[in-house]
Formats: sequence, structure tokens, C-alpha cells
Amino acid sequence: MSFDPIPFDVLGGLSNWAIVAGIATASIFLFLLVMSLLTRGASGPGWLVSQIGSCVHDWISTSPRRVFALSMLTFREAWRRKIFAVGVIFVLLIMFAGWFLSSPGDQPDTQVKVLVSFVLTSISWLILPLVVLLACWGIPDDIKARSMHTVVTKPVYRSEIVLGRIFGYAMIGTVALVVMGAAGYLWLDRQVVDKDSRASLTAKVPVYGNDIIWLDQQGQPAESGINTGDVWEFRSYIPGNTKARATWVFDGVGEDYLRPNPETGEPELRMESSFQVFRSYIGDADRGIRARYTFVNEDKDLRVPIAPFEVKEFHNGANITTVPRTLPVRRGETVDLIDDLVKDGKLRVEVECLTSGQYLGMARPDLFIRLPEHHFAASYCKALVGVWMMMAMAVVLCVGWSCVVKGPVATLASSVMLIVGKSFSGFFEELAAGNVKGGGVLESMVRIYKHTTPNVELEESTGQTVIETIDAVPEAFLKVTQKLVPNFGSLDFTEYTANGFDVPFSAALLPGIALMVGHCLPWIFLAYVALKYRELESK
Amino acid sequence: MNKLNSLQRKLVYLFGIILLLIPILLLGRPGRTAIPATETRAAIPAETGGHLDALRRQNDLGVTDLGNVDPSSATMNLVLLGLRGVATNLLWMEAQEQQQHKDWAELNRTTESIILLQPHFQKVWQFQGWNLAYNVSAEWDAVPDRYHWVKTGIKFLERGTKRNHKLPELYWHTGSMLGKKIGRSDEWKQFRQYFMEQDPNPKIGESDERIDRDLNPDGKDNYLVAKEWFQKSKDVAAQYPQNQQHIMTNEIFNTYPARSQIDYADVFSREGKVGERSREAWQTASDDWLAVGNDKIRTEFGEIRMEVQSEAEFEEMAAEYNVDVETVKRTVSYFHNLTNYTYWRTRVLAERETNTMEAHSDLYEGEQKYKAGEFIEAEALLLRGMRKFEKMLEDFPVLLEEELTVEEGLVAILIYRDIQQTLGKRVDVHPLKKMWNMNQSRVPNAQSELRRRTRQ
Repeated sequence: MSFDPIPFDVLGGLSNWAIVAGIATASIFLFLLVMSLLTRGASGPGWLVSQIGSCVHDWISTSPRRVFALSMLTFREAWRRKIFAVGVIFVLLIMFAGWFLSSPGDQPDTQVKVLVSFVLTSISWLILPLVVLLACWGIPDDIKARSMHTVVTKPVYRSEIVLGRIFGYAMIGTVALVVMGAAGYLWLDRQVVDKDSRASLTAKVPVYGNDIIWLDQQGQPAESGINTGDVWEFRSYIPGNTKARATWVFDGVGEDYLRPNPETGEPELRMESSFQVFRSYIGDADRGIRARYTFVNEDKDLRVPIAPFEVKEFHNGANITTVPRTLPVRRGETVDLIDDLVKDGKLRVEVECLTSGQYLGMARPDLFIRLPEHHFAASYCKALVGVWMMMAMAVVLCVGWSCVVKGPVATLASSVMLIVGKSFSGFFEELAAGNVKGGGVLESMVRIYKHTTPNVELEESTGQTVIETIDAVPEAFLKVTQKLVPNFGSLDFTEYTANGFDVPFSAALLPGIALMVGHCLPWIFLAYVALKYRELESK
Repeated sequence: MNKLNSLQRKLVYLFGIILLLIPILLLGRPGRTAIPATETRAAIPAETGGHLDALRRQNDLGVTDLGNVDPSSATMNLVLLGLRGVATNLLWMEAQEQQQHKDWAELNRTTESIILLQPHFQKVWQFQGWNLAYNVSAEWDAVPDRYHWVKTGIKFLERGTKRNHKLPELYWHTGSMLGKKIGRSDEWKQFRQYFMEQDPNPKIGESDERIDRDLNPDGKDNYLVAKEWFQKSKDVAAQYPQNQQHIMTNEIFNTYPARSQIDYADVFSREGKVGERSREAWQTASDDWLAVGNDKIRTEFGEIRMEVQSEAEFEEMAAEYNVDVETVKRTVSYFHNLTNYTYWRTRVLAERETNTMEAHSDLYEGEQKYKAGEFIEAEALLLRGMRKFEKMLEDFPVLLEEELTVEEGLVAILIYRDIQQTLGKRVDVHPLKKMWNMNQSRVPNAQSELRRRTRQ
């Protein structure tokens, strides 16, 4: 995989969120207090407290029955608008996609990856615009058509209207997602027919080790391996036939990690790697670069190397090593993998490159213990859950905007947040951190005019100082506001599913849920406040 | 105030629309190409359309004039309205990132999307074809995987020629890739075997075909297939002079079919398969090269040819164009230097000789014996081969100017000297002494080449 799935720190995330939410709430309260004093004089604070009390009352009195009724109303409205015709577009897409997406020469895992990515990407790119268009126009249309006036005269709280709309649109999105997801799954099942490709349609359950411990070619501790010239510094390389090593420590290893051998029934540990190779000379082109694992228990002074293997680069699932529970050592003795080599549940595995003059590249997720895999459907459904969370967040954002501004503006604002959050959140963060080469807006314009590349430093001058000072203003604004745009991209679990991995709960689903809840709660409250104090006659 | 009622206003709009449609129809009415008669249907004559259609035909701007039409590509461009440029830029950035992140499956898919949007931009085909065949293939470790990406790049370029059948550069690049990438890369032995005998892809290699017919429909040598593509590029360049190639000067460009034939003939020596087939190959190569020499080259005073060997021919040419003989000689010499004509002419003539073939064969066999550790046999073969090589250089001294020929000789000397040293004999007594002394600056390169070959 091209990224490191790091487990989510729930406590850390929660405390961060609480601090930001607390500061934001306190700031808003102070602002409102000052405004109330300015506009209402001494009675201002009392009025503010009564309004807060009214809001609290609205939320306490919110009735699930009325919310459900409003949700169903939203759903029926959408049904009447024939919104589910989007399914037809999806069916058309997948009917003909098979013609263009695979070629007979592709490797089985590559073919499967392209097909799975296509299905999941198509679903998300069809669902998201659908809910944006629906959710941004619902409340403004109601206000324009004055049907909102009828609703608010009923015993219905504004919180119920907001929640009813959100749940209604989410329900529509869910139905569309389920239908498209099912159609997509059936299509994948029909497209992937040959035996090798079907083997790639799986959901591997990996157990990753901790951060790699590196030794350089003299056997001394190092911070990382060698960069062999890759622009992408995800992997680090160790030179072959030297003392350089990369060591993983796997936690919680016990008998439950062992799987019976399909032929002999003997218990064995299954390890999989996806190392990469860099040849400093062509060498023996017909043979792969050789690597070897050594299991180490320093307390017992045991170092047990196992048989070397040739690295098959970029072949997903081709580098599997099975380690029998009983391992031979010198003089006919044997050791037990679990009893002798695992210490306090920790298994230490050293990796070395055996081919002289060649290099082996690796990152933390490149070596893992493979537990019994799940069915592909499990990973596929979890990827759909990711799309669902994106959809739900989009609904909340859109309803939030539609409570403040009119339909077209809400659509534009939500679409921008969605596109930035889904495709450019990394760039956005870099921009806010000031790490993007070429400077800010003005400096970029100067560079374009002067035909100067981003890597060239501009001469120091008064003009340049002025430009940098002006550019610092939007940069500071970005720093403050960047977290307001949810990182929709982190809810895209396609890479797991397409590469044949199960979607992990702690590294993917849990942070996704936290992101969704963390963003949705304030947005729902802001939407409610906006609708509560909005002048409905102002169309 | 508008005094028209709703119906009247609608009628006015309708009238306005019809009025505007008339010039659009007159200007943009599509024409029709002539359809030849078949057994069941009479011929349909060509039909001239509107003014725009006439201009389009006149300047070869219609999509069908450029090459095959892909409906999905045309649809995509329509759907994007004016945002094709934006979408293309995003896709190029995405492709670059996917390549950096070694996400090959997605890179392939993005490349396909790019060509849907830019089907008639030849640099896209050229860049991405090269990228797949050279850069992406080099990232893979296993030779069969590398070959898969080389094939992907070449097939990509082939598709480019179908979509743009009037652009000579794409044909040339396809030929170049078939010749150089398959025939000259570090893995050339494996690549050539995959290309001609056994494709490593199990879906192809285990079928009755055994080779990839998409790439090599007639099961020929890669250099001969490359030659066909170079010939096509030459023909297309001649047929559509408005689509000039900008890879190199036309005179060098036109030598490529013949150069590919020379490469084909030369590979017999590299593979140690000297015999009747190699003799025939060199015979064809010499015919092809002399044909290049007889091709007409347009100059400021008239058309000349490079194959001029006698003073009488120069004088005849000078008289024909009413210029002095020195001008003709200078011009011919300029083109000789440009194409390295004299060297290649000598080379093809030399290589047909039995002595030359035997020299290559002995040196090749000697090297193989050296690699196998059979030093006594290697010494005898190399000595015999070097003597023949020396004779070849005496007969055709111009070959001493050619790097590969010199390298072949130097490598043979290096091996011979190493054997002599191992056997405890004097290392400085050997044939080709003159060449050895003349090319001391090239010895380090020859040593690296020898090291590379012995590691393989």
C-alpha cells in the first residue's frame, strides 16, 4: 500500500476536539455577549441567557417521532422528483466500463484493483453530487414556496426541521448507495471470472509491526535506510550483503496467530511482504533480489534465520512466507516459534538483503502477519460505509449552508468544500503550513510574470518584503480555517479494498467516525441556530 | 412598453431562431466522402458541404481526416464542454503522482483517460508511450514484468498511429522502441526471445500463438518489425508533406529503415549465429544502404544523391545543374558527413565478406569459452578471430572510426590479455596492436563493457 495505516488515538482526538469546540463556543459566547450589550444595553445579557435557554429547550423537547415524520416527508419529495434515476447512470456506466477497464495482458491483481477502484469511485462521485444538489435546495425551496411558513406554525421545533431534513436526505443517499453498492458488487462478481483474478478479490487481515528499527551497513543504529533516488520518500532501502537490517516487532503474537497448513494441517505463521527493489547494476536479471527473515529473541540469545526468498516486486500477494511453528536450528535442534521466540507477546523479525550490491526498500506496512482473511464482501461493505460517511457529512454541510444562504450559493459553497476536502486536503494543509514552493498569491503572480521557477529564490527587496507580508494574511487565514473543511479524502477506503485488504477498524473506520461526528455536531447546531433566527420572509 | 402578447413574442423568437439557423446551416452543413461501389450497392459520389466543411477538408482538420475516431473520446470532450484543458491538466498531475507513488494500475488508467481527452496531440502519445516502455518498465524488477510494460508502451504508440495516421513521428517512435528497447536494452536477450519465441505472459505464452501477435503479427525479428515501422514513417512523411517530422533532419530520418536492417544483420554477430542467414541479412543491408545513397536529396541547386563514387559522376551532376564540380562535391560531402554515409557503406560491404563473418564468430565463441573458464580454447579462438579482425581493418580502414567496431576489438584484446596473464604468458604480444595503441582512451569503457558482460 502507498500509505501507513496508523491506529487512531481516540483520547487524543477527543481532547483536541473538546479544546477546539470549547474555545470556539467561548469565543462565540463572548462575541454575542458584547453584541447584546451594545444592542440592548444592560438587558442584553439577560436576553442572551433567555435565548440560550430557548435553544436548550428546543433540543430537549425534540421529538424523534416528528423528526421521523419530517424525514419521511423529505424522502417522499425526493421520490416524486425521480431522484433515483441516478441509478440508471450508474448502470449505464458499469455496463460499458468492462470494455475499457481491463486488457488481457494485465496482471490479475492489477485488473481487480482497477475494477474495484472504478466501482467505488463511480459510486462516490455519483452519490455526492446527488445529495449536494438535493440538500442545498430543500430548505431554500421551502422558504421560497412558503411551505416552511406552514411548517413552522405547527408545533415543530427548528431543530426538528433541521434534523428531519438531514435524516431524510441521508435516507435517500443510503437507499441509492445500497442499490448502487449491490449492483457494483454483482458487476464485479461477473467481471472477475478467472481463477487468479478471483484470488485477488479478497480481504486480507494484516497485523502490522511497530516502527522499523534500522541498522546501517556497519550494523550501527540508524534513523532510516538509504534513499536510492526516489522522489517519494515513503520507503527506505537497505544495501545487500552488509550488516544493514530492518527490524519489525509484532505485538500480541500468540498461538491464535498461527494457521493450519492447508496440506499438512501443521500450525504455521503466515507472513507477507511487499518490499521493493533497487538494482545498482543489472546483475543476474533472471533472478530476483534475495531477502531473508531472522527471528530474534535476545533474552534467550536466539537468532533463527529461515530460508531466503526472491522478492517479487509489485506483485500483490506473491511474497508470502510460511513459517512452521517448529524451526530447525544448528546441530539438529529445534525451537518453538511461540514458546522460544516470542517474548511477552512480542515477535522480533529482522530483514536483510542477501544480494550483494543491490538494495531492498521497505516501509512499515510492507511486512505483516497475515491472519485468516475475510470475505471480499466485508471489505467492500466497509468501503461503502466510508462512502456513506462522506455522504452523511455532505448532507449535514449542505443543510447547514442552506439554512444560511440561498440554494445556488449553498450548492457552490458545499461543492467547493467537498472538492477541496476530497481531493485537495493534503495540498490545502501544505498551503496553510506555508510549505508550498513558490510563495503565496502575489509572489506566484510575480513569478509568472518574471518566468521564475518555484525553486529559485527571489531577490530580497522592499517590494518582495511587501509581497510576502501581504501573502501572509491569507496564509494566516488558511491556518485558522483549514480544519473547518472536513478531510473527505480520509473516508475513501478504496485503496484498502482495491489492494485486497480488509478495511481496519482502528486505522480507518474509527477515525472516519470521529471525523464525521466531530464535524457534524457543530454544523447541525449552527444550522439550527441559523434557521431559528432567520427571517423567513426574506426570500 | 412591450405591446406584444405572449403568443406573438414566442412567434418572434421562433422566427429569430429560424433566421439564425439559415446562415449556420449554410456555413456548417456537413459534406460526404465518396463511397466506392460494392456488389450490392452503387457508388455514392462525394458531396461538398458548407463553407466550414470545405475549409475543414481543405486543411485536413476533420476528426476523420486525422485518424480513427473513438466515440467515447468524442463524447468525453463534448460532455466536458470547455473544461477539457482543466481536466487534462488534472489528469496529467494525477498521472505524475501515481507514477511517483508507483501505482502502476492507476497510472495506466489515467493515461487512458488522458488520451481520451487529447487523442490528436502527438506529444501525449509519444511521452506516455515512452514513459510506459522506458520509465515504468525500469521500475519493475523481474524481466517478464519489464517486458510487459515495454509492450504496453509500444502498443500505446501503435494505437497512437491509428488515431493519427498522418503523423510520421509516431510511426518512427514505434519503430525506434521496437528496435532499441527490445534489441538494445540490458535485457535484450530475454526481450528478443519473448518477442520472437515465447511471450512470458501465461495467457499468451501458453496458447497456440506463443508470441504476442498484437505486437508481432508475422512472428518476425524485432529489428525487421522496426524496419517496417520506419518505412511507414518515411512513407507517411513523403505522403503528407504538410506534417513535417521534427525529430531529426530528413536525410538522417530516411536512413532508418536501412539502419534497422543493419541492426538486424548485426544481431547475428552479437548472438554468435553467423551463417547463411546473416550473409543474406548483410546483403539486404548493403542493398538497402545503397538505395539510401541513390535517394534524391533536394538542394539549393537541384536534386543530388549520395552514392557518387567517380569523378565522372560528379562532373555529370555539375553539368546537369550548371554549377561547378567543387560545389557538388562539397554538398555531397556535407550529406555524407551528416548521415555517416561512407562508414555505413563500408561497413555493409565489409560485413558481407567471409573473413569478417568468421572474425565475429571466432571472437564471440572465444568470449563464451572465456566465460566458461576454458582458457586454452578461448585463447586459440580469440587469436584467430583477432587476426581476421585485423585483416578486416586493413581492408576497410574506415571501420576504425566506428565506436562499436573498436569496442568489439578492444574487448577481445582485454579478454586475450587476461587469459595470457592467467596462463603466465606475456600480455603485450597480440594482434590488433595498432588499434590498441590508437584507442587507449577508449580502454576504460571497454573494460566496463567487459565487466557488464561477464556479470550477465
